[in-house]
Amino acid sequence: MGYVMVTGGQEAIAAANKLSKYYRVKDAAEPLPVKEIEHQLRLLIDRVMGEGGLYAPEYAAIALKQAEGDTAEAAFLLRAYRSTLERDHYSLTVEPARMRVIRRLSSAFRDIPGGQMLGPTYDYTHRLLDFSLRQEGEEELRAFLQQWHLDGEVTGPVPTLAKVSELLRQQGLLRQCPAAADDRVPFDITMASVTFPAPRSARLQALARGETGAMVALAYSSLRGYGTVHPTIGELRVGYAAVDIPYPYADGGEEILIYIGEIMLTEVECINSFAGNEDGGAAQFSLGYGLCFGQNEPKAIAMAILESSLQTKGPAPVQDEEFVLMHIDCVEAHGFISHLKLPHYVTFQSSLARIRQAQQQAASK
Amino acid sequence: MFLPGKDDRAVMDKHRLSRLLVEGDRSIAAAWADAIASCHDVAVERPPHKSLVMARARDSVRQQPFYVGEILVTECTVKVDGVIGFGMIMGDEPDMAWRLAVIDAACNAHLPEVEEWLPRLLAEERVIAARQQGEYTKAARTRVNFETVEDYIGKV
Repeated sequence: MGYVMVTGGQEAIAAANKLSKYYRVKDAAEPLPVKEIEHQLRLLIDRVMGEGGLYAPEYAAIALKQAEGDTAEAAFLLRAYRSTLERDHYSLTVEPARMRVIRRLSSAFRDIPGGQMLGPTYDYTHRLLDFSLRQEGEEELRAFLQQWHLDGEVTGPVPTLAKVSELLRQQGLLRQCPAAADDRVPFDITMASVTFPAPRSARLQALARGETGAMVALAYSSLRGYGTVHPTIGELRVGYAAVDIPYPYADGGEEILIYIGEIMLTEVECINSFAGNEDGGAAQFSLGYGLCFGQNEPKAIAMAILESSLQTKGPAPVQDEEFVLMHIDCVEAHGFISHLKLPHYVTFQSSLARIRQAQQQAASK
Repeated sequence: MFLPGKDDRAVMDKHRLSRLLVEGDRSIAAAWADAIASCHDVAVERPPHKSLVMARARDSVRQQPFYVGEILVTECTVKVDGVIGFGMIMGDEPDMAWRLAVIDAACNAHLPEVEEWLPRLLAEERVIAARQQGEYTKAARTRVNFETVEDYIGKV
């Protein structure tokens, strides 16, 4: 495919940018504070960070404001920004098993050690528009928060909750995984192009920054029969995980770590149908794994379904690694769709010339 | 790093210190860093600048590491009386990165001021623990016991 440069239009583009800003603010009573976007549109921020592949709540809020709420555009802005920065550090392995959990459930087991916590969720609410939000005022918010802080006695230290999958492993219901695998260096899709078949680490990284809607749609197709995976959620947890990096000026010997903050993560382990193990031993369950930035449960569940599905063989789209991984990236997908709006005059002119030629040939017969 | 005393709580290594400064009251780091800067020679080796940390995770299916995404951080490197110090914090926080670097350098240089910090750090650790306990308590209020219909019928 050939592309031809088009020049001109700078003034029109500048005016279009101003017009965009005009439409963003023309009916605004007051400017939308970035802090309020960050804190009151929490789930949207989480989604944009996940799809942009950059954990930066404040910058995600700026991106959303700039993009007038277009999540794909906001994710694109974050990706573009991150490409301007150096990356000299890698974290130690973030451990969701040790996270400060705010939500945890299992649809496979009623009784899990540590219990199930609904946490912040809309899962059990009536989907009725709350018109009182139109009049929500500062005083009302302050009163709510004051009452909320007073309610309930603070009890004991924050526990870390054992993973359900570990319990299944201990009971021999899940295959024991080789611990030495930790030594392997993961593939990094931000530094090298993925080729297929992709390493498992590349597959997981691509899924972790995939677009929520695309992933949910594909995972849904598997549940509806275009695939073989229809799992039960062994555990879903949402919480804060600590991030540590190696101290860069350590003088060798003992590894020194420093703490740089916490990130919120959603982790899902879904239990798939069981099968005899590779050694011909007793039947065991297989797991699917999902992990993403923020509280984004549909995405984490979809990731677990898709990564499980990609381990199966068959004709369904969700069993095709290239199909799934190449179509869930919002920046690439939206970019390619959007490029259709750009001038294609030369390529279209050639189509026009061909069709006229064909018509003339048909007329002359 | 300093004061490894009889009591384990008094062992303050870089990890524990950085966690307390990052999660704790920001005015602590500001006061200490300013105090060091007013009495010692602070040279900025690399000014506060934004960079990325790639977050490494491990999937629990194969126990294999993978990258879940990048984190925006601000980092800074300074020298205090010729001794290096490094600070890093998530987000766009140039002032805090500088303060963390100055405090780190002060610890590396074993400055006498550092000896005074431990009680305040231990107190702040308790504040952080209480805050996190409070947050967990709020989540724990949503603890739920699901029952099957058979269980429910058996009870009534």
